[in-house]
Parts: sequence; C-alpha cells; structure tokens
Amino acid sequence: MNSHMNINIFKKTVLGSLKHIVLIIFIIIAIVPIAWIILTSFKSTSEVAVWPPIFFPKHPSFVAYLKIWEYAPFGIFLKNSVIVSLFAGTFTIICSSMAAYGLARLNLRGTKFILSAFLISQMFPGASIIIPVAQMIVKMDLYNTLTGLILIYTAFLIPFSTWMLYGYFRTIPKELEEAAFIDGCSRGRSLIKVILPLSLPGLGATFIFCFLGAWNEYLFALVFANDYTVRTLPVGLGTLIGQFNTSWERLSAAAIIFSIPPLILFLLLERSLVSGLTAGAMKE
Amino acid sequence: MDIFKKSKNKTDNMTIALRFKNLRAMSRYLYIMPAVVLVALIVIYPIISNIINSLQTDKRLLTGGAKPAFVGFSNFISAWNEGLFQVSLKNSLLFTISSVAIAFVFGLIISVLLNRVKRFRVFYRVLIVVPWVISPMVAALSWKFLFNDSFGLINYFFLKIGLINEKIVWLGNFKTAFMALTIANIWRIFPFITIMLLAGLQSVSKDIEEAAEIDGAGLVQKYIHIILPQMKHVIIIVILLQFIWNFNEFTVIQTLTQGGPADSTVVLPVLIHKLGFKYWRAGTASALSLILSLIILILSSLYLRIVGRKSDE
Repeated sequence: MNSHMNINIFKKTVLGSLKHIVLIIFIIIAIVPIAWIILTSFKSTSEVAVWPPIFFPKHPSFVAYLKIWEYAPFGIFLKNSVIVSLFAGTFTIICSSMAAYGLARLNLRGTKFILSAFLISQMFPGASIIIPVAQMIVKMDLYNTLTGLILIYTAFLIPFSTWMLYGYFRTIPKELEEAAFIDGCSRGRSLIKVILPLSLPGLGATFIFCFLGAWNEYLFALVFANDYTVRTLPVGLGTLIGQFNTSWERLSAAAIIFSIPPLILFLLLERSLVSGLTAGAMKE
Repeated sequence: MDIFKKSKNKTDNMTIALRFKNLRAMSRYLYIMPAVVLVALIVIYPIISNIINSLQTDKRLLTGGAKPAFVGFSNFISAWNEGLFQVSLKNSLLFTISSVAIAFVFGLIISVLLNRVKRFRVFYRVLIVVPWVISPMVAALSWKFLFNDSFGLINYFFLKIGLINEKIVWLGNFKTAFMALTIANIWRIFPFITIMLLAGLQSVSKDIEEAAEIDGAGLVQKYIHIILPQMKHVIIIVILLQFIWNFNEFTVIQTLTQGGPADSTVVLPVLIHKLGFKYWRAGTASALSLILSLIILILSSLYLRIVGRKSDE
C-alpha cells in the first residue's frame, strides 16, 4: 500500500517535471537562433566569425548599432520600410473597411462569390503573379518607386483584411445602425460614426497585420525596388547577407532594429491576433 | 389637356424616382469597388497575362524590347524537356511535405504538453512563438549564421558531441543543403501550428476528457481515439494552410541558398523569380507561374470547401 503510493507520487513528479523539461528544450530551440543574433550584435569585430565561437561578448558594446548608419544606407532602408508599411496599411484599411461594410450590411448581389474569391486570392503566392505585375508596374511607370510597392501591397493585403473586418462588422448589432438611420444618418455616415468606432480593436488588429505584411515582404520589394534609394529593409538585409565580407555584428544589429516593430506590435495584441487567426478554424 | 399634362408629369416623376432608386442601389456597389478593382488587378489580370506570356517568345520584362511572337506550347515543352518543371515540383513537394509533417508532430507534442501544464504556461507560450513573430528575413539571416561552415554554431555543436568529424559546408553542399533548409523552415513554422492546435485542444469540452478518464483509457489512447478526432477540423485546416504557405515560400530559400547548389533546393517560386529576372525567360517563367497558380487554386478550393462546410454546420 505504502510502496504503491510512493510509486504513484514518483510517477506524478517525474512525469510532471518531464513535461517541463521537454517544453524547455523546445523553448531553447525556438530562442537560440535569435539569442545568437542578439549576442552577436553586442560583440566587437574580433569576437565574431572566429573559431571556436565566442558566446558572450567580453565588453558588450553598442558600436555595431552606431556603425550601421554609416556602414550601408540603412537609414534610407528604414525610412522606406516605414513609409511603405504605413501607407500600404492605411490604404488597405480604407479600401477593405468599405468593402467589408458593403459585404456585411448592404445585401449586395455576388457577396458570397466575392468573399470566396477573396479567400482564394489571399492564398496566391507573389511568385505566381510577379511576371505580369512587373510588366504592369513598368507600364505604369512605377518601377523603382515606393508608390509602386504601396499599390501592390495594398492590393495584396485587401483580401485578408476584408475578411477580418467583415468578421468584426458582423458582430455589431444591426439595431445600433437602424437607430442612426432613424436619426437621418446616411449609409456612409453610419459607417464612419457607428460601425468604425465600435470596431476600433478590430481595425487596430487588422492595421497591424497589414503593416507587418508590408514590413516583411521580400519578393516584390526585391524585384521592383532595384535602386538602393527605394530599397526596403528586407531587401537591404538580403543584399548584405549575400556580400562576401559581411560584417556580421552590424548585420545582426540591423536585424534586431528591423525586428523591434514586429515584436512590439505582436506583444500589443498577442491575444487578438491569435484568436483572429484561429476564428475561421474554430467557428462553432 | 390639363389631365394629359398632369399624367405626363406623373410618369416623369416616376421615372426620375425609379432612376434615382436605381442610382442609389448602384451606389451601394461603390463601397466594394476599390477593393474589387485592386484585387482583380493583381489576380485576374495576371492570370490572363500569364496565359498570353506563356504562349509567346520571351520578352524583356523591365526594360522593354522586341515584340514577342506566338509560339504555342513550346515554353511548356521546353520547361519539361529541360527538367525545370520536374525538379522544381519535386523539390517543392518534398520541402513542403517534410516541413509540414515534422513541424506538425512537434506542434502536437508541444500543444498537448502546454495544455497540461499549469505553471509557466503563459511564459512558455510567449517564448515559443518567437520564430513565428520575427520576420522571415531575420529567420533566414540567423540560420545562415548558424549553418556557416567556418564559424557556425551547428558545426561547433555537432563536432563537440562527436556527430561529425570535420566542418560541413551545410548550405553549399548539394547533399546537405536541402536538409539544412528544411530544418530552418521547420523551426520557423512549428510555433504557428502549436498555437492553432493549442486553441483546438482548449475547445475540446472538458466533459469528454473526463469521461475518457473515467473509462480508464490510457493517456496516449485517450488522445488518439477521443481528443484528436474532436479537433479533426482544426487539424485539417492547419495542415492545408501550412501546405499552401510553405509551397509558396520564397524569402527563406532565396536568402539561404537561392535554389543552389546545382538546383538541389530550387522550388517553384524561386525558379520563377530566377527565370523571370535573372535569365529573362518570361515565357517559361509564366508557364511555371500558371502551373503554380493551378496547384494553389486546387488546394485553396479544398480549403474553402472545408471552411465553408464548417461554418454551415
């Protein structure tokens, strides 16, 4: 009896700590590659690219973070990325909140078809349309311009964000809007005065999603932003990685700065991002 | 006369009212116009244009040049004869299937464990998503760094535990490049699968779990026979989504290997970019784009049917 109990307790504690051990191993796997970049960014030039590897910098320094601004046109890349992501995010929100309102509330013919078409087009990879879109961009005289990138990103982000906002708008009770109509509100005014303020969290989450989509995009930026004056950060980083005498500590510092906006935005809405992404799959 | 005039006025008013009503009805479509036009611009137009391109001689994409001529299916035939199509499709499938399968197993183990621990759960969950939250470009950069042959951590670690005898050029050797690439990709995608499966596990009702426990089912049996079938939908959707996304992957592969060495890691998106903008073979690139579009169209229709069926229930 006593020994039986002991075995049970033993089983419980061992299995209990085993769970934590396995989880911690996976956490280490998830963290190490990024931790390595962070550590590298604080090293001095003599401590990177050496064998055996030096794990912790002897005298952690911010030199790499200061040097990147002169090392490559990093400032220009950063500015371009911010401009493109902000504008693409804003235009996407404008177009898709109008579209989502129309699809959710106006009983338009073809609503179901448009929603399905958006869902499918959202799956299409950039690579499958890059050739015609490149021709189009050249014809429109938007090659090597930020405007071209903003236009393409907006179009690319609309399907997903329309779906997200469509979901949010449908949760708003119709009665609220009807009250506004009785007060003489037009459809457009009701969208701006009733629907949008009520779905601010949803708008925020959608905007952040679009911002990050544009922030991380690589293929279009690689093809359309050839000149270094219009390069975005991913393209800038990609070019530096490919160079023979890459300065790894500076490249790491640049990667860290590049990662800060996504990390902050993610922490801001970890909950709603995950629930938004899983909503479609988990719908009851 | 008077009456006639009056009635004419009335019909006039009616047509105006009717027209006005039509106009108002039409104006409702203005809400969706910008979105629909923009999406058509990057979906419908490119598909038509790809079809035309694929039937013509190559044209210079970014600089303009000679007028292309109609060549029938010769772009498709040459893509087949040169083996471009077979190699890239094989690599794409192998890369996608092995990445998704292994990442799914990891995701399942982690999500089950996360669902069963109480202490530190939030802490674990926030840290485990790091690979998914950071940009693909940064992920690629860090793995380029780890796999580096002369000073990378992977060589250091494997030499230390005696798994290898000498430094290996992971990304530059056609025997190891594909594996290295897949490992980096698995690292990038397993957190998303974990989070989705965890959400699925949490939606399985506690009653079912408890009933299974009373029946005396073992832990593994309980999951295989009772809990996993309950989350069939989530599992199918996660796998399909991941399959589509990984089939489309460009950034990580382009940055780590650019499809090399000796085309051993060339997948469809990387090959399309290379043909279109390095070799200026727009015709062949368009032919491959069409095939890629078709594959994604089939997969996403499948996805649409499953999601649609679920929401009808």
